[in-house]
Amino acid sequence: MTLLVLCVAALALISSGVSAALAAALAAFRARIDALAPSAQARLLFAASVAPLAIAILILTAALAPSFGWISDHCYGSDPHAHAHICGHHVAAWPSLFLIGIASLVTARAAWFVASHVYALVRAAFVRRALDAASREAPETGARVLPFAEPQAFVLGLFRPRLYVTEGLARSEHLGAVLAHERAHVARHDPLRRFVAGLGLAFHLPGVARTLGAALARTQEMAADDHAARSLASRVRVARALVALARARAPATALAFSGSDVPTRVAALMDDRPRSDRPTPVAFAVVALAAIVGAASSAELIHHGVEMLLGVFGS
Amino acid sequence: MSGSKSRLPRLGDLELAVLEHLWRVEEADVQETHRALGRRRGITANTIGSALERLNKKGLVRREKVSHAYRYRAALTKEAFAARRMIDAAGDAKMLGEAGLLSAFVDLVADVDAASLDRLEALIEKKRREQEGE
Repeated sequence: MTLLVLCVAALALISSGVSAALAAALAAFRARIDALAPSAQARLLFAASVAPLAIAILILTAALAPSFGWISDHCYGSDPHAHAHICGHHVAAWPSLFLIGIASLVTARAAWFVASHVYALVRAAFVRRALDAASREAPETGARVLPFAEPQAFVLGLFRPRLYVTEGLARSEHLGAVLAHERAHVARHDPLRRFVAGLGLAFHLPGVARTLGAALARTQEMAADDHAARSLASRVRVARALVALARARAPATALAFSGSDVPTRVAALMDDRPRSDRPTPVAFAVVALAAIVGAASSAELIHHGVEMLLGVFGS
Repeated sequence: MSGSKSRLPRLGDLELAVLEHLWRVEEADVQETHRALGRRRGITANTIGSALERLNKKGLVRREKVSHAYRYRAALTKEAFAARRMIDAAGDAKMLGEAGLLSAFVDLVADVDAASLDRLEALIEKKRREQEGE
């Protein structure tokens, strides 16, 4: 039990540190990140969203290595009461109230994030059933058509998100551009990425979590715009569809969904300078692999490091 | 649609199927509904009867006694029902959007005023003419 509290406290300390460092790095490189292609930005923001949890788990796993008998145990050399002792064989002294406090806080917050995401999934299934009952299939578009005059389109779902358009849009000249955008979300697995990133945000500092979440949503929209513009070979068409649908917005509409920012997106579409799509997914995979190898090969160092970190916060 | 703010009640699959049937035929009694839906689903007329009873309690059907049997009709048109469902769904939209489960083409919560839309349109037209001039 004390070991568990120590581990969660260490997870909280490490992830908060990583979150703060990432926020600082993203702010420092803001201009360079903004110059990247939206798809690369979205990739970067996704990685940043899950990084604190991933890094904290990696470090903790390495720190627990002595308990798995992976590296030599140093239990006999150290007094378990001298500083925090991460070891499966001994019952360590109770950690300080501060560590117990942050361990409880981070557990409660993570539980809240998981619960609200699960609740959203359940609600999404219910909303989907309602929409399916109210809509008809339009096989030629791969979308379902809702009987509303206001032109609008959206995707709903996680693994196989479904595409919905309104009757008003189906009759409009903008259908093609809008469908291309929504199909891009599906092809890019945007809903799944947002969902996973959203869970990862539970381990960011609260302010950073909000900023990152909003930034990821925005860049995903811009990446889908970009994708649509490429598949139609026209940035103008997508931009016109955006303005047209924003203009057709009925006051006090029943179709009020959030997720985008029209002026920013139009401006981005009108800026057709070539942008770098790096770092590529392969680059992210290489960095992740390097981190795992690095952590595994310096498990002893990490083990002592984490014990010292916990020691600083009074254990 | 009325300005009622109450949410639509939750419906089970059978209740929804019964409601769909009523929209198709406009008016039916328990036996007729059972003939249309019950046999295929392998359920009794009583089950259909209680589904209609539940729909009646939920205010989604109206009934009228004609010689000894109730005749039912849907209280809302199919379109009004769909619209109400959409409004309910929109109530969840913010939450679903935050979880990444729902994303719409244009953000209809944030208001874009007509003047800035005009400016954007002018910007797009300028771009279009540039491209055509190339």
